[in-house]
Amino acid sequence: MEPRRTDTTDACMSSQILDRVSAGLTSGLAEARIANPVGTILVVDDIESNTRLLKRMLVRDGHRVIIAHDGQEALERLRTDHPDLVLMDVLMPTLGGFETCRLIKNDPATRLVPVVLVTALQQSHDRLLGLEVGADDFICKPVNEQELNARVRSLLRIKRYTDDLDTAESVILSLAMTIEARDATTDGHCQRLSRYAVDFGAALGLDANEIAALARGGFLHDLGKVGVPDAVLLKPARLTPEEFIVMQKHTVIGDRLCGEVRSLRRVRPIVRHHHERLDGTGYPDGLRGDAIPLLAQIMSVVDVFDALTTVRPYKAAMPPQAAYDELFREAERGWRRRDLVEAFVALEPGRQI
Amino acid sequence: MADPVPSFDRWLHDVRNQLSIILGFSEILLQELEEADAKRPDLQEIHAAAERAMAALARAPRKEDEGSR
Repeated sequence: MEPRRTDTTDACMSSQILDRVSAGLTSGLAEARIANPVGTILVVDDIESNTRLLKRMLVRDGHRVIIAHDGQEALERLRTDHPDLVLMDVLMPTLGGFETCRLIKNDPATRLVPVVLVTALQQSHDRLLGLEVGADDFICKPVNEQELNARVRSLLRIKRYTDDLDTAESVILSLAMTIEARDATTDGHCQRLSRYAVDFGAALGLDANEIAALARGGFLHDLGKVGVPDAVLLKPARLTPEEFIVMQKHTVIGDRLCGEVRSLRRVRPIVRHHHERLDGTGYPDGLRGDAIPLLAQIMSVVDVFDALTTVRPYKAAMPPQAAYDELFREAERGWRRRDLVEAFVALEPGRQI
Repeated sequence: MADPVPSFDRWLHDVRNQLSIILGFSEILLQELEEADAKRPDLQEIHAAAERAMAALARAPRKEDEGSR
């Protein structure tokens, strides 16, 4: 996109913005998975009969069960099999349940996995200790099958939400909305982009994970602008070549900000490469042709379309048809795939709203 | 490291653990058995005995805490 001129704006996080963040996250796809939560359960107990019993109960309720016989093996299984929930005996030789639970909850990679401690001990002292080490629930033996399955389902439901609403991810999304608030002319841009990109991806027959990445990418693509100084981002005139270089860094900065969040791994290529062009004249990496990730190419089409069809202080909104023509011209120039532009235009974006 | 538990509690835990296994599997079998199955009364005896043993354990004379907690 061209560097743009803007007015400064009050960049406070309004409740309206927060509403938009949550609207962007609670997609219909997530709802379906949450309604009927079955998952992979890691059962940890040193007594074989106990693991068999719990497995029997859980499999009857539709879950997949993997087994570990002590804390050490449980930690290994967590790393390799990524279970959705851990059901663990308290008293085990070598590494016991409390200590294992503490280790699970101290590791950023596993701390969001719910841990249910199962015990034949009865003292409330043990419950307290369980809560102290971060256990999410506590079940006493003899285990009642209905109670077990109700609790497991309830925790799995919460796990589904936390998977989608990873703490770090929601912070990053809020940050993205702050960027939008900083720049008054882009009001609603992220939300529209997300919607266009999702429709576009669905029309192209992409799978659910790719479409989810596009939904998030709409909100996050310009995240890195948080690292662009106001003097450049909000400059009410054309950028100098030096300033444009600073502006271009938003792709790399955004990519790096997403880097630590596992759930954003599919979004990173969009953030980094949505300004690349097929002929290699784009940025930040000057990728050519198919080397540019498809999701980034999709985001690039919708990003430019939205910029063209919305009002800016220095220009009127272009009618959709004129924007379609401009996208086709960019395809002729060798910047983007003509078939992608055709597929996008076929959806008649901007006309139905 | 294994979590330290006083010996009496440990003993209680181990017995409850074994009884839980008897209870759990007999409950599953009772659910899966046809209502009129001839084995049902025998299985109910096993289940009821395990429940009574569990109840007896709960009434077990408790030794004073052994200092570690």
